[in-house]
Amino acid sequence: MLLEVKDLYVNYGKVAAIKGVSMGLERGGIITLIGANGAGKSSILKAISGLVKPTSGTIHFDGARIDGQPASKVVGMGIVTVPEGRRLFKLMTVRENLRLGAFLDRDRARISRSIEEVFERFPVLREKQHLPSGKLSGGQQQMVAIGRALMAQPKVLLMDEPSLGLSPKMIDEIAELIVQLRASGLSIVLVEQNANLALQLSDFGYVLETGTIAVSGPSPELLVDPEVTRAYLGA
Amino acid sequence: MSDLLQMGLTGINLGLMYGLIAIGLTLIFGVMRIIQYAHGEMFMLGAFVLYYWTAEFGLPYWPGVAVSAIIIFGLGALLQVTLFRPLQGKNILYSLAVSLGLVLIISGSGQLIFGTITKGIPSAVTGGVLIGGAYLSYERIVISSVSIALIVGLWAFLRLSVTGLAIRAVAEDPDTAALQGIQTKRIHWIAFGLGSALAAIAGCMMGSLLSIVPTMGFLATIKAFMIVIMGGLGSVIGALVGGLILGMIDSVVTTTISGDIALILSFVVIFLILVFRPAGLFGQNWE
Repeated sequence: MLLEVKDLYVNYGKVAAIKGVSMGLERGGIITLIGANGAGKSSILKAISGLVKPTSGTIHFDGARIDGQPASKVVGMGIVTVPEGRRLFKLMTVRENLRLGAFLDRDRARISRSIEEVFERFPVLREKQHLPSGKLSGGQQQMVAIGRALMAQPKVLLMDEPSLGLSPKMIDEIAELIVQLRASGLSIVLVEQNANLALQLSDFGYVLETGTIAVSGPSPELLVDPEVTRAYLGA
Repeated sequence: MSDLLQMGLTGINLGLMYGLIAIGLTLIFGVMRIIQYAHGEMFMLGAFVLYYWTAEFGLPYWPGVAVSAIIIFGLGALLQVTLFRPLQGKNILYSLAVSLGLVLIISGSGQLIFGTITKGIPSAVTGGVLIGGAYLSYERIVISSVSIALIVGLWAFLRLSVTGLAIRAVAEDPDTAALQGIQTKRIHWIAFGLGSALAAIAGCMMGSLLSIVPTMGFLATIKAFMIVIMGGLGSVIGALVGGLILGMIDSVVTTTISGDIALILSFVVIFLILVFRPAGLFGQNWE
């Protein structure tokens, strides 16, 4: 297991958001967390990335325990987030956003190379590199957000609702990209409201309901599971 | 004509120094979203460090400015780590209360330690030049140049250096900044120290042109807040433009009418700006 979450609890004040969740991600795999709004999908990602401290439970990455570590340290280990709603630095240029993705990298040559790679992957960003990122379209902002995450040389990508608010055409492109990223050796935790898409892209799925895992299993099985289909796939 | 020119030159000179103080304050607010009322006290302490350095110990002027900036940087960073860090993310009223307490403690201790008699910092340069009938002392020219150099330097630092980018990132979205690997706590003390050091340098220069007393911080804080609100909270350009506007009003109205009217008029101008641009001239909307 590359990333392993065991019996995770997260409280916000007195409210329990996550109540005993366990899950695992194999090297090179994609797992998905699906479920309704407020089921706790984002809270799990925040606990992994270090933005919130778990109340109890453990998170291991590549054999090392990482729960309770500050976010700035977790990034350095190679767990990089593409946050919900992109969360770009909107007043800063596209290039500055990408540069910040490699904040911990001290190797200038590698940083220039990485920026070049992002521009090759998303040619439209090259033209817009000196514009404030807030001026870009939703799809282009998502490219910046993913590009910024790739700048950090990730081993694991935590993607929070990458399809949210995008056009169907753009969603197809993002899906295609996720397939490519996996092929390049990345492991991915995909949080999605678009359960159908998420289950098609992933190997294993966890269905969250109010902070606990209601159903889990290989994604192809969940796609045809009558209960999951009824509740989340709108069939 | 030469009167107008004289007032204009004085206004720019004053405005640049106001700008320096206000840029420091806006940097602190922008990055930490706290109200630092004791900012004027950093300005005052900066002036007194230079005073002791030059007048009491007879050491040279410019190294004294640097020493003052470094000491006040350290003090600001220390205050941030010890007093303001624990309040981070809590209601803004807590930091406001703490900084008000600091105002009383620092200016009160200042009066006990430095005395209440007005002092002067010896000038670094003497002489001057007549430009179109207006007299401009070399001291004012040097002070304006240093202010401009500092403002341009800060601007370049925030645009071009990695730490500068990190400061702007934390100002815009601290959580997402942390997700890039930025240690937000470190950025906080750096920004607080830097903002305080700018106020200290302004204090050194203002203290050389005018005179210094331990209670001078109060008016500096008021002016800095007026400027920052006028220019837009968190905006460096706004603080500079706001500083120049206030400096110009101070210079022109104080010369032609009186200092009290200048202060009243400044408030009227701010009032009008806020009516038409509620977030200030260059303000973002801080939700």
